[in-house]
Amino acid sequence: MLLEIRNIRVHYDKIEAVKGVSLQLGKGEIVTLIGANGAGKTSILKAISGLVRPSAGEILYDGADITRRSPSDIVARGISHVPEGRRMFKLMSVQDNLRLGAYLIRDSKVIAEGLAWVYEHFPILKQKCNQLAGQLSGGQQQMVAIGRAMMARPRVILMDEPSLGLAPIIVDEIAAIITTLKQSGLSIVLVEQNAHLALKLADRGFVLETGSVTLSGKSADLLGNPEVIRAYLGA
Amino acid sequence: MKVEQGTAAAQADGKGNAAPPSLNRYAWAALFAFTLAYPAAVSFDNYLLHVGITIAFNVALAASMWLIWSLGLVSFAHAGFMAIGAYTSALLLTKLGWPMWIGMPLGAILAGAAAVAISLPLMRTRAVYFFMASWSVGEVIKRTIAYFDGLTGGWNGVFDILPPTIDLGPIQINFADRIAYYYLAVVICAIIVLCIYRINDSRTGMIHWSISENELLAEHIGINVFKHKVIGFTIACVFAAVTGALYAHYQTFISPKSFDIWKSEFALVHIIVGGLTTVGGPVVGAISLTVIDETLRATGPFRVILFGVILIATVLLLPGGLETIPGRIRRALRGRKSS
Repeated sequence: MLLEIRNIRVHYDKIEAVKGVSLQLGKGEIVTLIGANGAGKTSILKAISGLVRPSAGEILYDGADITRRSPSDIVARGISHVPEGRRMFKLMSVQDNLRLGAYLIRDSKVIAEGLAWVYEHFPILKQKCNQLAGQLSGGQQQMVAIGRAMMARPRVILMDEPSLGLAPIIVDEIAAIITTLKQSGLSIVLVEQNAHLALKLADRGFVLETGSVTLSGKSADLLGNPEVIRAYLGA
Repeated sequence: MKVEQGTAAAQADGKGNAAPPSLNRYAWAALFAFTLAYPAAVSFDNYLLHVGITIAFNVALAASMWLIWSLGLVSFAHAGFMAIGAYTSALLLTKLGWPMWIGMPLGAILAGAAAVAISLPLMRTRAVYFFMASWSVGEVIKRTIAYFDGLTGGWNGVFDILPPTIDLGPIQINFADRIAYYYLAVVICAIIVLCIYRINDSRTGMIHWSISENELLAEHIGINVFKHKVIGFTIACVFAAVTGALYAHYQTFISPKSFDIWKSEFALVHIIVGGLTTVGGPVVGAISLTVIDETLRATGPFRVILFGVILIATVLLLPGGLETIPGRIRRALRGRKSS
């Protein structure tokens, strides 16, 4: 297993947002966390990337314990986070946003390769590379956010709600990108409220309810599970 | 849709990197040439040279405070770190007879060490809390200096801080001469501004602005926000200390009152009036406001009131400060051409 989470708990003051969750992510695999608002999905991602400290449990990556590591150390080890809401530096150009993703890389050749990769996969960003990121459309901003994560040369990408607030046609585009990333050998933890999309993309899924995993299994099985259909697929 | 993109691009233009770099460079070169020619231009008038030296101090202070601003922070500890540099150099001279050439770097080192030590707790605070905490740091430095009056002379201050001299056999310069001190101040001020310009222009500058815009996101993408804040703050404080030493040996007298909150406050006003997004902002702001301040000297207490009026007028009438004027003119010209 590339990434293994063992029984982590996350507290915000006295509120327990994650109540002992375990999950594993293999190489080249997409795992999705689905669940309602406040189920603890984002907290799990933040715990992995070091932005919140789990109060218990451990996170193993590539055989090493990364539970108490700093966010920049975790990025350096190869885990990039695409935060929810397409957050970006709106007052900076698209290209500067992408460059900041390569913050930990000193080799300018590697940075140039990264930019070339992003522009090859998102040609529209090349056209707009000197525009302020805040002026892009929602879908383009999501491309910048994903491209920025890729600039750090990660092996694992944590994606938080990439489809949120995007038009259906753009969602299809983002889904295609996620598939491409998987084919290039990346492992992805995908957090989504759009359970249908998430389960179609992912190999395995975990259903979260108020901080605990209530169901898990192969995506195909979850797609056919009557409980999942009732609660998340809206059938 | 097309039109919208057009105006959007124009806005992007006004944002700072707008001016073609060559034009920017000409402006800087012209400014530097003018400062070099200034003593002759004012026919070595003592008072006007004094104004020039004061401007150099204010530019260096405002520019270094702006470096902290580029991290999204307003620090009112600036006058305090200026005091550390000033007192170190002054006391080394008056107590031990060490010249400014040793005192100034030692003061800078001491201020740098103090900045690292104090920023470890300070950088855990944010926004207005950082502002208040830095304010108290500045006050504590000032009062600590006053408290140890056996060493520092307390509120009475330190006297007879002689200007430095250079004695290289054939080349002898005594900086008690005001023209010589003017050039010394201008050169050191230019070095400080150039350093800040280079920092801001580099990868570090990009990281500073990313922290300033969205600290949480910077953390998300792996930027060590805390480390960059400590380093940026420390560099700025070192520059403030250098300016302080330069100030002490020019005034020849310093007291804790020379480094009170007004010093920091004026530097902040210089930045706001000048502009916040490029280093040209604090430079232009400090120059123009020092000139205005000196012109108003005769009006006595009204100076401070007028300063307030200018600040409010700038915020209301020229948001973004003086640095936005070239962009505004360019946009106005372009607007006329297209209509």
